[in-house]
Amino acid sequence: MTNKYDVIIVGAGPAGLLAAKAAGLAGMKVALLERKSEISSLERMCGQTLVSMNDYYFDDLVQYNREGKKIVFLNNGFSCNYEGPTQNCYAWHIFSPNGNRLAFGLPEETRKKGDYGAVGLAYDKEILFRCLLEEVTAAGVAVFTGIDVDEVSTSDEGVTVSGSNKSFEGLYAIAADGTNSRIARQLGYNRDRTFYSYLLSKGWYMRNVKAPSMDILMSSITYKPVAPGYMFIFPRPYDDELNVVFLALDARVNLDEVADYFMKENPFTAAWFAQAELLDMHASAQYIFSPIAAPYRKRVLLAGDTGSCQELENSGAMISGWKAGSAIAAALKEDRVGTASQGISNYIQWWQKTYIEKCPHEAYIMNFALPYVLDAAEDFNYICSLVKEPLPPCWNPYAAMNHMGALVQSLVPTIQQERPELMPKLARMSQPMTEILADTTEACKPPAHFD
Amino acid sequence: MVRINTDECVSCGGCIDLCPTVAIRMVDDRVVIDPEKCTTCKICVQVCPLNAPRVLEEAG
Ligand SMILES: Cc1cc2nc3c(=O)[nH]c(=O)nc-3n(C[C@H](O)[C@H](O)[C@H](O)COP(=O)(O)OP(=O)(O)OC[C@H]3O[C@@H](n4cnc5c(N)ncnc54)[C@H](O)[C@@H]3O)c2cc1C
Ligand code: SF4
Ligand code: SF4
Repeated sequence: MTNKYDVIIVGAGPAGLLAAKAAGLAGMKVALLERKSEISSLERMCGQTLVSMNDYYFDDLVQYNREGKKIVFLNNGFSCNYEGPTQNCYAWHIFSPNGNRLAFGLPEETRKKGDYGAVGLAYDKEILFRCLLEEVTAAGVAVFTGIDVDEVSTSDEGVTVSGSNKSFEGLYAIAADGTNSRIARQLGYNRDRTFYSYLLSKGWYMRNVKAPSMDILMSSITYKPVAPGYMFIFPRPYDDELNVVFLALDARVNLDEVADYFMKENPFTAAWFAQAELLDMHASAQYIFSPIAAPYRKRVLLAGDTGSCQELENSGAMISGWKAGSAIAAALKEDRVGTASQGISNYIQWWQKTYIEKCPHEAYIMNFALPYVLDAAEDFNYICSLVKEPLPPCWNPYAAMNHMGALVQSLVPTIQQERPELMPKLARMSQPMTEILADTTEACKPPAHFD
Repeated sequence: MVRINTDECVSCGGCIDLCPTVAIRMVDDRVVIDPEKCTTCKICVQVCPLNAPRVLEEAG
């Protein structure tokens, strides 16, 4: 009995660490299991920016308290330490292949507002992990590294979590093992999910890139023979460093060719990389599925990417982790005092209201739709050439799509007159993403037994 | 079967999550394939952004 935990949390990413902190602070006996041996080492690719610093995101408003060195979630009333360097990101600019730009904010304007003009905040995720681990340990959580969990079995009384020849018993579990979670798969969730595509990435921290700005987010697209490729450039909180990431949704796309296109072939972007020095490399590979609508089954609650496919981003993963840890602590207390159960249902309601309804999966995937719809470089060059005014400052994948939709609507009369042949392509933007991505989906389908 | 070229793998974990037979694991921060479980479906070969998993000829 002594070795039975109140809650076992699998995965020490942003979601799992915040869940562990919340449950630990509530006085619960918590075990946190992680397959890496160093929680603070970043293995999976990440842009390492806090998205949406200038508007509500998952019903919360995120703030960095510079003096106190804390990331504060104003609406949910919790915070976490971050004692590392930061870099404000003052705008998001999307470049067409010939260098026309679609600007979400003008940095010349937003910089004047300082911290309150930032749309995003670049930070060092390894330092964030280190700070979170300290807080989790201080909250009394038992941390086990090097445990690659491969089995979760549940009964009416509790859960048994095993991996790497060890086994842990608990009353509840939180699966925070990230995208394409093994636990979600074991619990049968993937059977109800729609497969869209892959999301594959590869990139480097780079020095000496002569990009138009070092303090804005930049992205661009390429039309490779099989399917589009993307480049995202994230500021880094270190002098003269950027995080340059190449992506594709389609497994037939060779990411090295995408990198070569931006760094050597496209004259507009190649000029930025002439002297670039490549530092650390990261990668990621995942399936994009539709989200899990009811993230609780058999005493296991899901948090963060486990129930989505990175659509919550780091802020959302931290919020959902905090809420999941608090929900299980509430459920444990309810069980003990014998009061009606609400903790877990409150979490499920929050998940459905803020994520499934307000931040829908379709809107997130839509961020990758443009080159699938406007399937020739000239089309995208042309549309961007029509944009005279900047769009609102924004680094929020959901809000950005609303701004983009409104922009396209406003351009329709001009396009109808000048390039009527583009209208059928633009009309595709109102199709569901399953149709826009149909070719990629078909080519990349997971094996039937991925359930 | 398939083996992972450890010089090229950065342990991003992508293939671990996608392997249909749960043949890939993280052991001491290295990503390794259990030859008993691998069915050579080549999913990991297809998805790895760094081309680290390599198909080895079947012996015999
Ligand atoms: C290319 C790319 C760019 C991104 N850019 C940004 C960005 O700029 N801003 C932003 O906010 N978000 C960004 N994200 C998304 C962000 O990285 C994720 O949403 C976030 O990390 C999710 O946190 P999580 O805790 O849910 O999962 P993860 O961070 O994936 O953590 C899961 C943890 O569980 C561990 N684990 C997995 N399986 C097991 C197992 N079986 N046993 C034990 N442990 C296990 C993993 O090692 C990992 O530590 C990006 C993602 C990608 C791929
Ligand atoms: S996908 Fe490639 S880089 Fe990532 S863990 Fe697997 S073999 Fe290594
Ligand atoms: S070939 Fe298939 S079964 Fe073998 S390790 Fe790769 S993904 Fe798993």
